[in-house]
Amino acid sequence: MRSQPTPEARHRRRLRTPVLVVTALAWAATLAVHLLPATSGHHLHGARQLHTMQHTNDMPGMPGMSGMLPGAGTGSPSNGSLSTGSLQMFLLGWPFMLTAMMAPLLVPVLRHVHARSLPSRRRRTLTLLVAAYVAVWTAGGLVLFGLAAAVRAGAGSGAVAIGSAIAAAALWQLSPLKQRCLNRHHVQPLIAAFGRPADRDALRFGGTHALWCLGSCWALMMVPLLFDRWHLAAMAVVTLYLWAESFDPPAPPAWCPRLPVTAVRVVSTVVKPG
Amino acid sequence: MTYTRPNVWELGGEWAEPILWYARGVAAMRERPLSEPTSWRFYAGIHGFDRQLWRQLGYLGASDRLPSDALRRRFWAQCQHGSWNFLPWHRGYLLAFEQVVRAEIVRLGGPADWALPYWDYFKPGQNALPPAFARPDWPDGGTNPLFVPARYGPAGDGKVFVPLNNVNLRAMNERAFTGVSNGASPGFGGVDTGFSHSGRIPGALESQPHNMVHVLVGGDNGVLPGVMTVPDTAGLDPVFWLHHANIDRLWESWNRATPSHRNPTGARWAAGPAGRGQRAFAMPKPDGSTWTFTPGEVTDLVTLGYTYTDLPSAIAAAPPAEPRERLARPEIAARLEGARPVPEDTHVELVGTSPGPVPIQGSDIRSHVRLDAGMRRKVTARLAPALRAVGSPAAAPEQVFLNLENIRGQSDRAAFDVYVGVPDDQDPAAFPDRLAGSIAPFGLRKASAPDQEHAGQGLTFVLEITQIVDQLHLDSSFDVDTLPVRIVPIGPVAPEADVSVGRISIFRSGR
Repeated sequence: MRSQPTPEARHRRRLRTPVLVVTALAWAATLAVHLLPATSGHHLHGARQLHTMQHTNDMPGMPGMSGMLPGAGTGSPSNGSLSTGSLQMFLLGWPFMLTAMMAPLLVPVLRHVHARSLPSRRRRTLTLLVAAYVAVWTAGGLVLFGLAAAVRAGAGSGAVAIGSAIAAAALWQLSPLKQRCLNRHHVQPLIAAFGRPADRDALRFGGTHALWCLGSCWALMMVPLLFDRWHLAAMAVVTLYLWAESFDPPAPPAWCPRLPVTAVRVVSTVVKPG
Repeated sequence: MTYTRPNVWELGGEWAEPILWYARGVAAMRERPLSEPTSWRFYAGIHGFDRQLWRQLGYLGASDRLPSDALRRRFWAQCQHGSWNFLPWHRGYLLAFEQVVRAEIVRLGGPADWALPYWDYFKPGQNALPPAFARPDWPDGGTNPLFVPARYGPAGDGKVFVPLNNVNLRAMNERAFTGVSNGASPGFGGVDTGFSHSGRIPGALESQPHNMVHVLVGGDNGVLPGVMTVPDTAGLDPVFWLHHANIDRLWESWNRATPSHRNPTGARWAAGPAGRGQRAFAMPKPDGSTWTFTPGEVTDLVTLGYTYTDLPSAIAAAPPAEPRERLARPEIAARLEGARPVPEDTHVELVGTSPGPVPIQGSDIRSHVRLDAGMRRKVTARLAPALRAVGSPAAAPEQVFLNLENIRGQSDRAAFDVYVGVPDDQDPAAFPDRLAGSIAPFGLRKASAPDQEHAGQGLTFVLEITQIVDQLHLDSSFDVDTLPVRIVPIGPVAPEADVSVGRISIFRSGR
């Protein structure tokens, strides 16, 4: 039976397709940012530092990424202070990392705002919403960066730091607060259509949506920040998990295991033979 | 064998055989404990379950043992609303329920060809609750199993009927089964969704008459809602099944009205949510096994071996109140006949909105939609006869929709009439041609809870107002900055219920 797209499916596709293209480009850029310093001899301060760090850390297998990680490459995990170079590298890679991880999660919101705003203001409204979203996430990202540096400094070893972050993430995943954040993350509030109230609502919606998104994702996002060699792989795994859990509908908050059941079923249905 | 569902008002008597056997079947199901999948209350739980409300209404006692977690996960809280699954899921639900009742009837020595009657409240003289449901006694002695004390009716006084001025068959004029969620028509059957136990935007038939009949028949007594009023209790009322048999009949009638009234055919529809790894539609069978079905398997009523005694091929809505010259225009006539599919190049655009939320308090709520000047000109230009005449036959017709977005509140009884273009100082009752529609946000309380499936966003309703806008344009009343919208509650809405419309908006759909 040939599947004809429904009108709703056509509308979904109109916005989802460009966002997925942007996401793919962001992943390519993220990869490039982490490969570039080591392969082309770019002379960014952070890149130079990174090159040195790779040698001192004796981690030749994964060039680039560890340079943007908090406290990485200092030679000793206990000396995990927030260096200027690593912060620069973090900020350089951050726009790509944020886009790569979060853009698909924004599709329902972008679709909602696109549909419910005046055609003459759509571009402005969407721009303000995304700007607020990025601003709040960037502030949150810097906090996460600092937190990761502190964990590194306090942990004594990379393995302990990663183990602690995984334990914290697991606890957060089980908590009712996580579910509350996920539920609020599904909210698509109404926005004003005209004038300053429309701008204000777009900024407010983008900001609050980013806050709930941050609340849902922060613990899991900490984990790849603590990986040196396997940072990109950890980031990919965490991203897939975050995308997967967004498929589940809101639920009453409670202490309970929270697995991305819907996404797992979808994938298993697609890949099963016949 | 073909089972024929009869009209409950035309059985030949208050306790004619089909309704008497229905009562006996219901009584037999009621005797089974809640934990048994073929019991009366278990089947109601398949539609929805609210522990507190079941207790308050006397359907869950301290000694009751709930079904196991596994059974509840498989069967309970399954009903599909605000979705294109609404009609197929309820068809399957009816078929399964009917099988269980029929098995009980046969066990008691009744007819093996028994089929569920339907309640056609639109037929002249048949809008009152069928008498067998309205009295506490019955021929077999004891309490009538079809009688439900918590069935309060439109005025909350126990007089149960369907006020014909609050229900309509406009859905039968919808051209396409499935629609969109972006402001234009959600279609006859609803928007393409996954598993949707409580979706946000109902399809046309789900909204009217389905939702309205639920809310008006159930009503409330000022303290508690009636059983039919809330999705989580509705299946506990025996009249629920006759109401849904009528909704199912209307679906079949829509299919037969014109060849263009087709159900979806794609794999996404046919396989249903289970085809995408979501929860399957599953019903307990009389022999203890499980019937799992998909929308594609219940689309064809003939193949299922069912029909109705009265299945007109063209149930039509009342003719729109519109000047003759407008009706004569080929574009409008085509739209009313539902003769054209939705073109792919249809664009949906916002034309204007209310300045903010609109609280539903009092008996007459005045609000306004501010119109964007450019979009307003676009609408009027495309409604103009000259442009219509040059439009290609395949082009999307210009349509205008009123959206009542994100309705929220703590009452399940709320229902209201919505008028467009009635001046603030005029009585809307004097403008029946400006009535955009009557809506009943069935399931409102749950839809407003932040940690339920809706994330607290409430419900959104879409009413087509093309003809009203066309008329306003002819009268030069659409060339304004703000358009009045009046909301008139059907029955009082308590202020503490905090019912509000998040935003009133107008959308255009067309080229």
